Amino acid sequence: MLEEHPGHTHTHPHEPIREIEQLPEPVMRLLALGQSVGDTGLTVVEEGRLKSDELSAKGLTQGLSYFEKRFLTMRSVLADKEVISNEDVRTLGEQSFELGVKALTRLLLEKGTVTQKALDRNYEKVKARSPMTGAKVIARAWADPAFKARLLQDAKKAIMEWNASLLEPNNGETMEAWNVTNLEALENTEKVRNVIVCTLCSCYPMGLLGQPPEWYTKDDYRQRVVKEPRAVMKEWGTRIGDDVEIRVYDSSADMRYLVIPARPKGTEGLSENELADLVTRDSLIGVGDPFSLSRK
Amino acid sequence: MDSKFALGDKIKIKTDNPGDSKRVPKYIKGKTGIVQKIRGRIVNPRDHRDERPTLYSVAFVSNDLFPEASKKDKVFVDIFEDWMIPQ
Repeated sequence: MLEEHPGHTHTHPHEPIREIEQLPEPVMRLLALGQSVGDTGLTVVEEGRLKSDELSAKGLTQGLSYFEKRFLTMRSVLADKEVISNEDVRTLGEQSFELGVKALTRLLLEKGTVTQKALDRNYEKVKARSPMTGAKVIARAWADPAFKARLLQDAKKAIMEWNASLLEPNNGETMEAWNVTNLEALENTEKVRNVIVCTLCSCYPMGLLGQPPEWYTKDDYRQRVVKEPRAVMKEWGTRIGDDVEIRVYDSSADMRYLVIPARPKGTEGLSENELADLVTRDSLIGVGDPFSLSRK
Repeated sequence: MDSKFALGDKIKIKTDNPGDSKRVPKYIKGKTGIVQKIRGRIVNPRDHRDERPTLYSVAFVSNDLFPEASKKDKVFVDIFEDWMIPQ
């Protein structure tokens, strides 16, 4: 069994982005493999989503961690397409997560489904994904009102026009490859707070925010935050006044969101890098606030 | 843009799947909301092979969806035109 990654638990909702641990290597290998298969056009994301629903309905994913479930889903989709056999699906699942991912990778390389070059390139991309990318966008929006206006108008366009290299090493590639087909930036004000969820699965703007935190993928958050966002946020240390409207955005395959948290008070003299360090992952999802100067 | 609905339109979500776009959150089925944005026809070949209808951002009052939810709060969902009925 793959242990839950410590960086994925929600023990402290306000950890600095720099302290968020990278995913374990076998998980990044799995994601790079999935990305490489997707690049060939053999599979589309929706097939995985529907397969995952089907496996869950049959009770076949019970007790599996998020990434074990994704691994099983990938194997099952590949078997449906007769790339691997049902026997492969079973034997790969009998190994440890790490060895199973290695074995599937070897199998797909042998069959010519993916190339080593594609795997290496995608591994570097997966490794580079971090919420720090989103934090830099927010710091820019705080520092430059004109950029913020463009971000609110058309978030994807504004980011690409400002700094496409922010999304390196996918330099020259589109954000689609980073799971951001269409992006809307949501501005928090004194009267409005925005919160992001995906109630149907775990849609998330990975190109900007990295892999979602573990809690974002769990039923508890996904089911509760649409009904009682105030209670969820209060438990995590953020109280929302009765005069503030909470808008919960339910993400989908075709639409991703990025919250622009309110700029902390007293930060006028800070550089963009210093501002980016105040941004937390929770504040980008909307369930928490950025650091204030005194708390940091 | 040849979209059937306009900003501010009151619409109702169908209870039965109209066909193409399979996944819609259960909690909005049969519920009424207001069109907030017209997102247009989204091209998303990495995600799905078929062409989808026009996508809209629709706002629902949370309390209309869940009896325990606040009357002050809202839930925004992106919905394809074939799921929507004019009100």
